[in-house]
Amino acid sequence: MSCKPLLHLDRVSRVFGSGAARVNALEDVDLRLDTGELALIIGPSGSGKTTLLMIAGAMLTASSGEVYLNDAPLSQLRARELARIRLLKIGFVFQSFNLFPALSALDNVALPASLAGMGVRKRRKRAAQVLDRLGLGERLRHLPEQLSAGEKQRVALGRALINDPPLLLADEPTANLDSVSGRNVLALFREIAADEGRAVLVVTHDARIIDSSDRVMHLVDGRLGGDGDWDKEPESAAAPEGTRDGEAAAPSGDQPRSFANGLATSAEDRIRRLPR
Amino acid sequence: MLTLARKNLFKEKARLAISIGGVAFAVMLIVLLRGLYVAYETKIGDFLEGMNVDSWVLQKGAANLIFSYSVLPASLGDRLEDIYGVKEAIPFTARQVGFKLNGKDVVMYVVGFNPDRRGSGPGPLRMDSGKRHIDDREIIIDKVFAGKHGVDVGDTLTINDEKLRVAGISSGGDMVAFQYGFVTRSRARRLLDLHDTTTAFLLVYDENAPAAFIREQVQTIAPTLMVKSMPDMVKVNQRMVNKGFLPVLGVLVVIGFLIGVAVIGLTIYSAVLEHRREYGVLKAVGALTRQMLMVVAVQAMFSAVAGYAVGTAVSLLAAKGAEVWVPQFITTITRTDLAIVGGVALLMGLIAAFVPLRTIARVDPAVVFRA
Repeated sequence: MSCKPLLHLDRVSRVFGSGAARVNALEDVDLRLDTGELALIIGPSGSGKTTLLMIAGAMLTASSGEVYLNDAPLSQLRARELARIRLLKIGFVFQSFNLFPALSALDNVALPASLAGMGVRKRRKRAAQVLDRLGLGERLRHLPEQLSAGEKQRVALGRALINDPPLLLADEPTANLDSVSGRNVLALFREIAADEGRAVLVVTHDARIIDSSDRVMHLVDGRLGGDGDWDKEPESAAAPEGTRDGEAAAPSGDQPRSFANGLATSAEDRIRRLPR
Repeated sequence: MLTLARKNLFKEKARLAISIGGVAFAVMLIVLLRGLYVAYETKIGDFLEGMNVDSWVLQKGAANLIFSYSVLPASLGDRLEDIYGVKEAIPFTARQVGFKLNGKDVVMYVVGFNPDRRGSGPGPLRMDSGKRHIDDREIIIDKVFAGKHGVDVGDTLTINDEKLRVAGISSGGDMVAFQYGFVTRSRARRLLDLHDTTTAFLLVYDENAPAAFIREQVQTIAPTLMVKSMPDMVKVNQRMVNKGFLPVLGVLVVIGFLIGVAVIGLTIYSAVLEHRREYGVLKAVGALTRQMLMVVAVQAMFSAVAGYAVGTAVSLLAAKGAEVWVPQFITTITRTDLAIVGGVALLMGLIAAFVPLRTIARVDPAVVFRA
């Protein structure tokens, strides 16, 4: 790990409510994420995963501690500047994709570029390139409702990458995907981190994907543990509902171009070894 | 952002139709009412100016032809013609009368005129059917009166127990509350019980006549006389109509405006509520409140412009149709008025765009994390 990580949560705590209703959503969380690294935070529901992601994603301020992005403290920035950070420095991938139903895959991906002020032709060209790289070159004009879950998630990933951010934050990115699509998406994250030098932080409670990451951390009751032994966390190891093995695989269009089928095979082996 | 605004707008066609319909209705209300007002204002001017005289001599205090009354001796005409600069003094014999027609009480402003005379003096503005050259037993009625009461050439009206055969139908004599009817001057005196009196005199001046001098001379004949130039007479009568019409018009225009703002505002607001999650996504990925407002503003402005276009088209069609089927509903829709209403429609859209401002500003980006 380098001295100056891309993302550094320095003893971050977050409290909601007061008095009897006080909830410590995060307590003294210390997290460093370097460029080229794919880190996973695993924790059960209510463990503070979303709060952590919101703080890391400059959407929520910490009650104490500091968040540094490229060594710059985020607490010093105004709402407008934080919005700019979210637009240009951070890419978001969400559990339920959050695509705009009225927009085509191309327009969904191009949207953040439009917010960043990129011209129409340039952003559409770039969005097409990104989608092509994600294996959706033939689906540019499709509306989200015409895409499979795996394709939707890849469009969401394209939207996160269009402004070329150094940091990618993903919230349960495989929760709504079948196992094959989930593995494909994780493989894309792997590639994005390793080949493109981005830092990727994935928050999940999907036990099937832990082997895809460089580092796994556990978040329990707002406290972050270091690289842990997954076998010791049986409660968090359940696969998300509706995505059990054996469920129908995504359509063939779900296979991104740059991924070999061998990757899926090795991932499946790893999943089999996970506790149920 | 424009793409998102446009595509979201067209995706929900029912909402778009309601929004455009609301503005179209408001625009129609404003355009037609304004058109009606302009038409009546113009008509009053046209009728009076159509007499082609320079000034009016009335009994002092007779502010207008409708709500006040002037009675002058018929012999005054000779004395007025003796004034230097006065070429002619034409008697204006007229009065509003009520009578029964088809069992209903109706009102007509009966004007006496000389059928042999053309060029200046009172008389029907334009003949639509029948003849202008009538005799003592005949009457010319306005086409609005004819249309309203189902009267046609050849029918008989009984006014003050005297029977008059409808010999012609004219246009340009509709004044909203009543219409002009024309009989010969001698018949008018008898019919209106004016005998040796008349309502007013219309003065035709010699070329380059001294108007101020003539006014002074008229007042030396009798201080109870008043001279009004034709432009003043038009203004006074228009003002009288405006007095009754403008407040109503003003209220209806405000109502129309509020309807437009409310309809666009509510449809946009409900769309924002429904798309709250999308605004949350926009916020999460770094959109500024200003940029999110732009989405709403584009949608509101589109509704306003489309509503304006539809409202204007429907108004113009309605005005054309009314000319044929409801002749009393005459409108004058000017380009200037259409431009002003266009501005009003844009203002509706602009105000409506700010209705969901608070909601947008307060959208919690955390919605994106909810499954």
